[in-house]
Amino acid sequence: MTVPAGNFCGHCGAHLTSASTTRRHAFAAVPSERVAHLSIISTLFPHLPHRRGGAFRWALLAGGTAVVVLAALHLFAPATIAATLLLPVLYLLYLYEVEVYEDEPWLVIGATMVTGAVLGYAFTSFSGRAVSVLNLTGDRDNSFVLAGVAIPIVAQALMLAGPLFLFVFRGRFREPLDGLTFGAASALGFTLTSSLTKFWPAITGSLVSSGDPIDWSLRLLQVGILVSLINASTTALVSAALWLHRYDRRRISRPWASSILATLVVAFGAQVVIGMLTFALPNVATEVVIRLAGTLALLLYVRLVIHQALLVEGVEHEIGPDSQCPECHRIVPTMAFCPSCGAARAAASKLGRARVGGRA
Amino acid sequence: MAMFCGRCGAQVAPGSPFCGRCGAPVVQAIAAPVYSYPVAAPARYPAARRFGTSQIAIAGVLLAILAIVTVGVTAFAVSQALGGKQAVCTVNCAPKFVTPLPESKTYISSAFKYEVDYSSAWTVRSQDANGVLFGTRLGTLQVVGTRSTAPVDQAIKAVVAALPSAQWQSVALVSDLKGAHIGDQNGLGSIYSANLVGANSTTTKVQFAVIAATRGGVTVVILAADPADVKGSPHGIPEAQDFDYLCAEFRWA
Repeated sequence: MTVPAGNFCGHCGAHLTSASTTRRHAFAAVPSERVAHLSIISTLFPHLPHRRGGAFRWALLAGGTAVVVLAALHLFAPATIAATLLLPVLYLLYLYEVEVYEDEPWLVIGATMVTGAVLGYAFTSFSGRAVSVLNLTGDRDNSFVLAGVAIPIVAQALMLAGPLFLFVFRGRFREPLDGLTFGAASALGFTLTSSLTKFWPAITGSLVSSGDPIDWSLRLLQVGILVSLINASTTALVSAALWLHRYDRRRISRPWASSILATLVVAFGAQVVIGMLTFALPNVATEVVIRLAGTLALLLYVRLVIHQALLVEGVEHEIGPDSQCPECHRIVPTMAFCPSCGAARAAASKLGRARVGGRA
Repeated sequence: MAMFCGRCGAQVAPGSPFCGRCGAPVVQAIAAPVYSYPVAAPARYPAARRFGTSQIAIAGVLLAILAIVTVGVTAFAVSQALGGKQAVCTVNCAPKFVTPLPESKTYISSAFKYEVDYSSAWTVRSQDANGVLFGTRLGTLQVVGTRSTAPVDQAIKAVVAALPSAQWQSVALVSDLKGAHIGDQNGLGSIYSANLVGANSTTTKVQFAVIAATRGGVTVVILAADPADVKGSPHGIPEAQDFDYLCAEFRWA
């Protein structure tokens, strides 16, 4: 096959100048960023063109600031609700913006966010009573097994339930980034109700409460941002690997990092390790440090999986008519990768692809 | 000069970045390409269907939605909290007859020689010469002795103030405990409510009693906590009867 001239191979995405097939310096979803680049938006919102990512980035920053301000004013109940709602609300808007659900919005949102939310509420209500009694009676041994090991494992499995349903019953969603998005959405729904249930006694308390604002700010940012990101990352990893395994039509040797086994080990392992460490070191500042480190590592791993998935994804390769690259907006031959900027066509929003006349 | 692929050995065309046979990348210095595609004219495609406004406006809308939902859920939660409160028994509500435990054990303080009978179903979490900490069926009970001449109400306040704020949040006085006693010594007691934050950030609404009495220069403070059950339990403490038994059967030196 002859590919058009460009900086990147439109067929396999390799960077032609450096002859790099792995092209770690140009993330396949957003080539202006390296793969090892920390960004919440371009990692968990990969369909978002980088031009539109700014609004979500600012909203995330402003939401986090609002939580801190509310906590500083001792308005802990509203601060708790704002913290837990921040990422799920943004993700819901992201789903709406990029139309990953195509023409089945209710099914996809129901199977991911709503199912995750229902399971999160049910599981946390059930397990929370046991954790409460163990906390109060000072039974640290059983509490460690339950809160540090069992709950993270079961919770991770439940977060995967919704995406698995779509994997089995909706084969039309065939791209690895579909799986990644469904996984993140399910995890955010689960985390939302799980956190609200955990904090319900505090939420239903007085509007203005006593307590250390710094302690509360750290606790809420941990629950609202870090726990949400960890859960979204681990669930997205596994679901992206599942989708990639089924729909990789090239059947070339996939990198081990994006295999189902590796992602399962990383996802469940990360949940258990973080669960055990935060139990063993029960201090808010320490918990924040542990979760922050886990979040950063997981986000980088998710980017690696996205990058590898987009590079090996089994799309039907042909050279289509000239169209606008959704990422760099240049007029290029329609291929799996933009020959000019190297962005994977599959990373563009389905709406954007349909708009430019490319393959959806 | 001819070049050969390092993986399969096939001859590689000069300047080619990949092997023509096996596709392995050929590492060599290649001048940066001069390929350039024209940038699409801004008006070539229809504007975004929904978000045609500036990014600041979009961020504003997102925050407005977040704020509305936050206010709505907070209002609902507060209304639930206000509507769900039950009257708490405050006067002479403790059981008048102490039911003996079917099986009990005894802790003896080696420092102050007082004795505490407790249910054999409870677990001793820690103990030393001054006191003991039990894990009860639902909660916790701590007995601590000190040599002090301070008033007992000060001892109660000191115990409450010493609770770690990271775990014990929103501590509030519910009522004074009328007729509080430890053994045959009259004392003072108060009932408090709080949110206890434990593992996994699980928050539990608890109700706890702090009772203190002094005899012979020794002040004993008992702190008993349970998950709050303000509807069906005396003082909102489900194990109040067991705790009361312990207080009633306490034996001073």
